[in-house]
Amino acid sequence: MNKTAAMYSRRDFLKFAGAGAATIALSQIPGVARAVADDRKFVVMINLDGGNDSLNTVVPLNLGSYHDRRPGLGIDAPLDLTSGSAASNDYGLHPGLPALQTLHAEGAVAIVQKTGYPNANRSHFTSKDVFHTGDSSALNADRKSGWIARYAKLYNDHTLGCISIGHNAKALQGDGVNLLQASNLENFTYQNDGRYPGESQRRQELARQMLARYQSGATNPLAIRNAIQLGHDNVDLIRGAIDNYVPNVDYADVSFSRSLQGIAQLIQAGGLGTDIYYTGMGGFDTHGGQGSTSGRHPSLMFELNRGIESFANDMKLQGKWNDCVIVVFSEFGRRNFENGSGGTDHGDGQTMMVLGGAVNGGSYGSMLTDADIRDHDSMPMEVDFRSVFGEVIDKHLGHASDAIFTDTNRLSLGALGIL
Amino acid sequence: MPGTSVVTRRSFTGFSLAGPLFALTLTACSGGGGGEDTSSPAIAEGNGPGVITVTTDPQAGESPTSLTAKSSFSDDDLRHFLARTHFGVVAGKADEITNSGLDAYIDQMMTIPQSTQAFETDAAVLLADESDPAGLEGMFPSSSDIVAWNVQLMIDNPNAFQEVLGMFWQDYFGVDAGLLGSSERHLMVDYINYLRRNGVGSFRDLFLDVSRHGAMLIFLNGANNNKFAPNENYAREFWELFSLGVDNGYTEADIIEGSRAFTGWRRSFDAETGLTHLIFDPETKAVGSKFPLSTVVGHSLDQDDYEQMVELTLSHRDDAGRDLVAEYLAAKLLRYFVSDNPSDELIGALAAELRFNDLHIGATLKTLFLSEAFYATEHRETMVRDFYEQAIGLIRTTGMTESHWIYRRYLGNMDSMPSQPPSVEGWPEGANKITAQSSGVEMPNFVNELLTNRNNQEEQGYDIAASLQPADANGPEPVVDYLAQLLGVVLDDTDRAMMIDFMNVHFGNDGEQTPLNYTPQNTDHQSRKLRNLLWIMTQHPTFHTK
Repeated sequence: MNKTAAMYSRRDFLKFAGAGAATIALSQIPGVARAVADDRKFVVMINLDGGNDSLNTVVPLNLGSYHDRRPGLGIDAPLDLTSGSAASNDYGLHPGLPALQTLHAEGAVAIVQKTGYPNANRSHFTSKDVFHTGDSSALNADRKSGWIARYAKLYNDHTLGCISIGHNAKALQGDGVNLLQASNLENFTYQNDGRYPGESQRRQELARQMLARYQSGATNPLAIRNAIQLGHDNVDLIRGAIDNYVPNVDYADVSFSRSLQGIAQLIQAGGLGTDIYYTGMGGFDTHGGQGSTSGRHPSLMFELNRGIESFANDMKLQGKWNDCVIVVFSEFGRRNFENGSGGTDHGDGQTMMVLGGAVNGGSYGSMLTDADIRDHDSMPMEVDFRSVFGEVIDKHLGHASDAIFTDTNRLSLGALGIL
Repeated sequence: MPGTSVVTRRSFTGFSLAGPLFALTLTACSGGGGGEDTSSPAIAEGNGPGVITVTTDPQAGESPTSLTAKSSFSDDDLRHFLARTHFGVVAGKADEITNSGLDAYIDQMMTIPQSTQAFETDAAVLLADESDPAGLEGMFPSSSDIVAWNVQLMIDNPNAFQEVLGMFWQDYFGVDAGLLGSSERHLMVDYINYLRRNGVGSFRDLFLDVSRHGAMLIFLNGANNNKFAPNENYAREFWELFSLGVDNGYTEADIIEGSRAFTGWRRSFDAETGLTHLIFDPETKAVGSKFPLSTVVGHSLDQDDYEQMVELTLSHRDDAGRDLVAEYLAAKLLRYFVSDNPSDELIGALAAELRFNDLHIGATLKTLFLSEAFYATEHRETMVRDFYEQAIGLIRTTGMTESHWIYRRYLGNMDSMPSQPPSVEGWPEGANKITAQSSGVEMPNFVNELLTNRNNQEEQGYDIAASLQPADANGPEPVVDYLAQLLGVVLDDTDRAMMIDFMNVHFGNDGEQTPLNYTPQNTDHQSRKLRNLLWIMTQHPTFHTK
């Protein structure tokens, strides 16, 4: 289900800017900063690092087994999803996700149940490697390239073709392509020697010349050269985007929200040629003290919600919501049952979410059943995560994902219809 | 290779070094050939045990897979040794090695005092707070305090190897201090000290002691693992990360049995001191025998099952009889000290050496550090340095300091803070280190913080000339060469000429350029040019490798 940008923008402007300007075209409203006009589409990957507890994120309703297996962690009153075109009587959302509830009601959230990969591995590191490389035999991922690096090499070898902010990812590494990874964009500038600014300018010029000339027969030194040079080559461009950014919404002063704001800043400046942005949050390995509506996991849901809320509103106000697809994923889900520490151990399948103005909201994958929770220790896997990532690449970015995900062990399904 | 720059390691010959880097005032051409190298002829100083023989070229025919002791060690070898085991080169260290002989020096650096050293007492001040109760000073550090304390140890320890190896174990047995509560963080201090002081000892002891340590029991949920509902976290990492490797000789069923075996420990809060400790409580231990790795662990309420778990794991072999633990540990040691991708042959050789030494780390590493494989050409200048390694190395090498707030800020931005590994897997390995710390601006800005902290450094008596220039330097050339050597930066002729030109020109704030004729003794020149030369050098890719 596709919507128009104007439809979102007006509603969001009314909601978030609070002006009585419903009849005024958005572009006429002073103070609303729209992105440089183009229809370039982009993807934001949000990695919930550590293994997100899917069952307490998208909560199954009417399944007695859920509460039976989670007497302490089960959520009694999840947020209602019965509004809008994608209304669901089968699931609710964690109470910490009201912004996602709103987006769901707008038909902008696809919930994909039982995602994963064949022969799921419950090791964080193996499973992350699989998700980063897109290769389910990635036991030694150091020798395999990241799927985003492969994408960039095939379809967008621009130095800023793919960017990670605030969350490093193997997905961006390999094959001689090392795409920009920044810890944050706020401070993305080379500080000067304040006493001698002229020397600072010259030292930076010399560094650029030195890097441009540097050659090495060894892989790592060459990759280091490429990485350092990326900073020098793009600092002015990025700095310009940051300095000229006009905020439309407030972002929380926490790492995840700031990372999303960094992405919004680049998009407002025209996207700098970027197709895929990558960020994430850590802390999802909730073996103990997980909490249901207060505690570690609820805090993470709260931060996820705050970040996505600000970012989605920003995209709407920039007129880029229809060009944006957000994919929320983890390396695995967690067990169906709580452990003795008030937490959950590593599981297999997970629930992924795909958000955006062009997304066909609704539930995908087969319904969770009592048997899935009662008879299995973890959510079964039926949808290969590469089907989800692949559909985003195929349908949204307009490139062939088969060339990216070549693993013969992946489950092949038809298009899910998310986009 | 067409277009490839000629690489020349320049000689110190002709300089009178203030705090000489290498007593043997020679250099080695590291294989680039063809440059205008002016190194002196080789001086052979003998072939007896512990005697260093200096040569101008790496030994031909070194085997990258052989643990056979190398017959002699050049100054290039010593630089390589220091880069891999000491955070980098420090003036005077090679002198010390030369005087004692490498063999004897390694024995010395492997001898870790168990008593508190003066620099440790000084660093411990960073753990204390005015609000600490009398008699419990330093027992309630914040996680930031622990970072500061650990960084200070790495900066000040005269035996840098102790801290390098300590970081290896922090990486291997990862615990994140940030996840411990205020009453629990004293355990992290004890944990880090345990790893620093016992890292050269028996892996058997390390494995068992770490498993039972309060910091680990809390971090990987052993403290919550009880008979009512076992928590799998520790059992999984016990094999996956600490001994066998992922999916290597154990099953999901073993993890369940292992998690039962690891029950029995819980937190105990002492209301009088306000400190949490871990105690063995038989009431929480899972009842009945356990069957991990096809082995019966009989039930006993008198003790935990940890020692049996360690022993059955250390004796575990796969169907082909492979010594899985020794191979896993060998590979980890090699990926830290020798190569991102060690060959199976070298892993096998070091695994055998580990078993020969009854899993004694110090003896095994000594063999490694004297071996042909360690110094083989293909293992040099290829490994990526961790960001903390670059930062600490720079501070130790230059003597420039900043505040702990600055250290934490930059190490934190780079996910490279000691005591806070980004995951239980530790810090990234190999090419995965080339992430934000490379393409971001953190490292150059950290260097800028160091070099612009002039006033504070000078007030504290810092002498940049003594630290970064040869004493009798009479122009920019020896200064550029000397600094490159200190930092492990390999300059080609064009880079070198460019830097010399930089030293000889005054770049004004409005863009004007004025000839300067860099004079090493001129303090204004040092402040303006030498400090900024340091920044340029650290942007060279070879500064980031070892």
